[in-house]
Amino acid sequence: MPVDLQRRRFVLAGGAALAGGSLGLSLRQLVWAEAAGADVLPPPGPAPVYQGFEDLYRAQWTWDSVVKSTHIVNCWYQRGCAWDVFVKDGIVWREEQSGVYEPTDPAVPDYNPRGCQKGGCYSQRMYDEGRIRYPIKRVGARGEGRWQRVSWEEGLREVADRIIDALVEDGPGSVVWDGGTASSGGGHGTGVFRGAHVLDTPLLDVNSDVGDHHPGAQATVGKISFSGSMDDFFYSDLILIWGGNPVFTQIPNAHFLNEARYNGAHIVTIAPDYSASAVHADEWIPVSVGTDAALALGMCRIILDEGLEDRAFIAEQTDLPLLVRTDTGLFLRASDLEEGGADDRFHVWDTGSDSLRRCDHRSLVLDRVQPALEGEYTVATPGGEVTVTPVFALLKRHLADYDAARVQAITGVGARTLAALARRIATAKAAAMVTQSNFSKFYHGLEMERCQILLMTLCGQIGRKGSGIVGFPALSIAGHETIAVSDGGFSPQIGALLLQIKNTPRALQWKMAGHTDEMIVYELAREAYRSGAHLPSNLYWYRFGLGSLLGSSARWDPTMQRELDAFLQEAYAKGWQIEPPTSRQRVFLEVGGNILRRTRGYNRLYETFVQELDLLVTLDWRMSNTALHSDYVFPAAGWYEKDDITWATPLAPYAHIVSQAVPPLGESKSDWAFVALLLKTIQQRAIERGIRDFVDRAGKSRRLDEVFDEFGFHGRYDEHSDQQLLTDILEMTTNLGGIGWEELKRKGFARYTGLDISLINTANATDIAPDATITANTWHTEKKLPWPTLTRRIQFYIDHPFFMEQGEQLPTHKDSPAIGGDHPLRMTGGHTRWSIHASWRDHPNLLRLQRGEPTIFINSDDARQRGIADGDLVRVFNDIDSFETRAMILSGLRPGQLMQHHAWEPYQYRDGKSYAAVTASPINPLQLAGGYFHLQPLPLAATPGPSDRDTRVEVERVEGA
Amino acid sequence: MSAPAAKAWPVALESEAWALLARLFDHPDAALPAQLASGELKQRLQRSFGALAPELWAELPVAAFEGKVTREALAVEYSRLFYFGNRDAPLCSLHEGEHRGNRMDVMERVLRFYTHFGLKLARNPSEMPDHLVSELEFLHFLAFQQERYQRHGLDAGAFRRARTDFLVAHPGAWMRGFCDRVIAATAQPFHDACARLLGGFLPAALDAHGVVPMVSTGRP
Repeated sequence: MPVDLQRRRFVLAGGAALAGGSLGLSLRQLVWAEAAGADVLPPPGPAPVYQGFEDLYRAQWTWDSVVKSTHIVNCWYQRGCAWDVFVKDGIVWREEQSGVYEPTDPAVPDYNPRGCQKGGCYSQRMYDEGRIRYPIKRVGARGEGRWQRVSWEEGLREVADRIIDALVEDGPGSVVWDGGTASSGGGHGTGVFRGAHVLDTPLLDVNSDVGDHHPGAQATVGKISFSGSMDDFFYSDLILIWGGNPVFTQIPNAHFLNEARYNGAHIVTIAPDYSASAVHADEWIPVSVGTDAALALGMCRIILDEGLEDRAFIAEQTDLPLLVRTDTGLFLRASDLEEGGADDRFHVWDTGSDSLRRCDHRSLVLDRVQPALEGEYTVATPGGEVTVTPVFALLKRHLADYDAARVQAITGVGARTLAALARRIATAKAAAMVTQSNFSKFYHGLEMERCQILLMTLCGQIGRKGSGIVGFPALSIAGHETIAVSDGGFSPQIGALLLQIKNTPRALQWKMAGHTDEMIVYELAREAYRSGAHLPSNLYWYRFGLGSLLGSSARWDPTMQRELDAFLQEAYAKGWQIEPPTSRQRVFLEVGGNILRRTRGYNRLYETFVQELDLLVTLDWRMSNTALHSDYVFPAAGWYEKDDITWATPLAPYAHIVSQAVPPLGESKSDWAFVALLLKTIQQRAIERGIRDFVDRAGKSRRLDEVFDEFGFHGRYDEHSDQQLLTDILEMTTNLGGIGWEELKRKGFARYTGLDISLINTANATDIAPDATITANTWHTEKKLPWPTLTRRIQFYIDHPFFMEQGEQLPTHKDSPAIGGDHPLRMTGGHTRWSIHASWRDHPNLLRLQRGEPTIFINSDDARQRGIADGDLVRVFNDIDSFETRAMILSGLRPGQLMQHHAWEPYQYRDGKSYAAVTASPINPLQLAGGYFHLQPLPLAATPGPSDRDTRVEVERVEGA
Repeated sequence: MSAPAAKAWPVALESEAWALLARLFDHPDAALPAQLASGELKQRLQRSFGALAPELWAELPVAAFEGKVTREALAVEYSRLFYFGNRDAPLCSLHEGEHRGNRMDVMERVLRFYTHFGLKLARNPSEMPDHLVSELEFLHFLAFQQERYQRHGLDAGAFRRARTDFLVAHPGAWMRGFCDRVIAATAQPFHDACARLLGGFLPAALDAHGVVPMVSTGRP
């Protein structure tokens, strides 16, 4: 009696007819082990004992396996937690933290255990109703939510056809990928990068897109990805939580801060609100929103006024002794002094010899030079005598504007508090900052970061154990990255060698010119960036949909003398920034991100960019807002359903794996498999359609009917090759102690043994010892290797034309512009405790720990003045747009501040619009600067970011709600 | 909880009825429109349910079980109801744990039944143990086994007792509420009729198993 052909059918022996019809068994979702392989059943054996449900519990519950794994979610600062995953009958029933990290430095606390409440319920998250289990195709209007399940083959065939059409008709620039922040060091990252590379289709550079690009760090130290380890805080006696809320966002790390405090460290939280991290600090300094630069500069002035600065450190490590021409405001360069002189050689005035000395650009060692920090000097040039003065002198004059009274007026922080903190920083044995990627998201965030770094640098609190500034913490396996881009005609190992050989002449050239290995890595990365492998997202959005918002800077910023577009066109014309493709955008592949949630002004993006697309395709395991508005959605395997390896940070310097504990749910597949199948289908369809070639963005012909062969190294990898790929990756990895995939899978993690040469690793500029904490940037402070800036020093004076036009050569405070219009409240944001981005935003377990729906925090006085009670539905609005949410009244919030924790999906809001609808997020023109050694676009940094923090809004109660 | 059935059903028919219900709530495949168009499905349903629960069958909009309907129409409505009809969630979850709370606990209890009687979850399709179709298939299996053992002259009481207990503890505890939701959510005659059939059959089955049916809202 088969009711359909898919069901497994068994009949009784003899096939005897029974009253009411023949008897058969038809199963589809269940499998009967006893009948495996049989069409005709044998006579039965003894029946199972069953008197009542108690009998179900007589057999002891045992696990089929306990597997090591973790979660490939971008929890970033807190990432990297080893979990035991408990499996029975193909289901993950629970996970537990593995307390298995061996102590490194016996004098400091260890890392056990690691994990947070999100990871602790992922087994439930992966099985909840939000899980995408089958490929689906849109059948209604975009976003309407009408779907039809399709087979992988059917879905991929149409996507492949559309990509082929786009490649052939409009070129590879018409097909763009977004890997989001879910990228891994293994199958996901390699698959997406290689897939995009083989097709010559660009990937969005998500880092500046989301505002994690630390423009102030890039401008000041020439790099962003550096930090120490969390256990290094045990050597600190002063810790500044300034620009973050680690008690919320670094749950597995926060204990290190408490332990440092037990060890005598003084913890100061500087934040407008009385945050969870302020609760656990010794001191809370409430600062007005967006005024952190002024606060830092006020302290800098006190330090200089009281002579507390570390002059030896300043002279050796910074540009503060470098001479600037008083007539032009530009550095005195070798090219000023001699015909054919270099533009990147700088000078100090040696007080010992009372003469001009050219700085060694290969080393920070001063030898016997005693650079002047103050005074004016006359220098002879071919054009006549010019007067020069050290940056330090200019800075001192500049800081005169930041007296305590003015700083108090700007920041709300009183003079005594300011002075006490300044002295504390200056006299600390080791002061460190726990910053996060908050200031990057302010319009003048570049200045906030510069000023923070200036403060710590003046006191020498960099590159010593227990001290330091924090950039973008990142650490990854290194040595295998070439798999993404090497020639598929060779093995990945040979391909890596060939690339190395190809790059060697240029690397040697740079080396001869005095570049450090760190600088050479950046040069190579910049070259790749210029080739268009990555697109600076905000420039891409500027061109395709959000120009009116991102380009609205001059509307709000009174210091701009011209429109942003004028800056942008100048930057393009001079090659300072990289122009996005001009071709019509036809296919967008969302493979790890969520552009229709994360993009400021996402709703306008939907109305413009998305509507123009032929196809929006999403690979995800949950129904994001982007997936909801896609044409095709493919189901990604969950984090316990695939094999991969994560990137890490020096904060917790361990590479973790995700491990396939159970088969993928439904028809979901690994990210690697998705990309492999897509390329395979493109090749297959190209052959079937007789399309042999396409023209890449360099104008060269490429074989379309061989893209999968190239992708898979001609048979080495296919859609099932996750483990082979990871085995190869680890064989090529040079900074993980030689551990192989099988061993890593058994253990779950391995501690990094070094940085090797890699874009994100090298910037940490430190050695990793097996028995010591990690302190960033010791290569500069101890080995005296130059910083990767134009001046080869920590550089506070930027004589770039855009900086000069905006009057920001030196770190400065500027009031946040009234982005959004003349409204009284300042909307800030932050990461929540109850989700990692949107991954758990709609999960019942986490929703139960909060209010279960989007809320915005409002100060009690502000609420009272507006007749808003706790829990009221409110409308938040400005000149851009509005959204509705519930009010949560917090007396700990600063008056005038409105705080919105991020990552609610727009569809979770009452009116279907999120806070990102009101953020214009205009680009600060300084972030378009380029052509200036360390201010040139490269992956992760030096391209423009968003500016949603401090958006001006008003809020009102929704009547009748 | 269980008692001797007041009006015991022919086990073979009951087995087929559960299989048919599982079929009705499975994702529509290519065969379904053909079976609807030919009237085969209606005939099969009538043979089982017309015999087991004639009053129910008489009340049902049985015309929905035959006639021309495209696979696409069925599949789209299926996705709307049971997959992603409510943005990031279905309008009517097919999973018991989503209706009753404490999903993992529900899955464990269900799986203990399956395992005790020698069943495992299939790998293709890879669905969860508390899925409606899995639970209906289990009832189908237990009835099949009961009949099989009886035909061989063996004691089949374990299968009967387990079927009753499982019916009460699981499908009987949530599927009627689920069916009410489907009826409220759909305008598609086929899915409406399927929900009415399952929703009406459950109390009849409980009655046939000697259990006084309780009204369930789908929540504990």
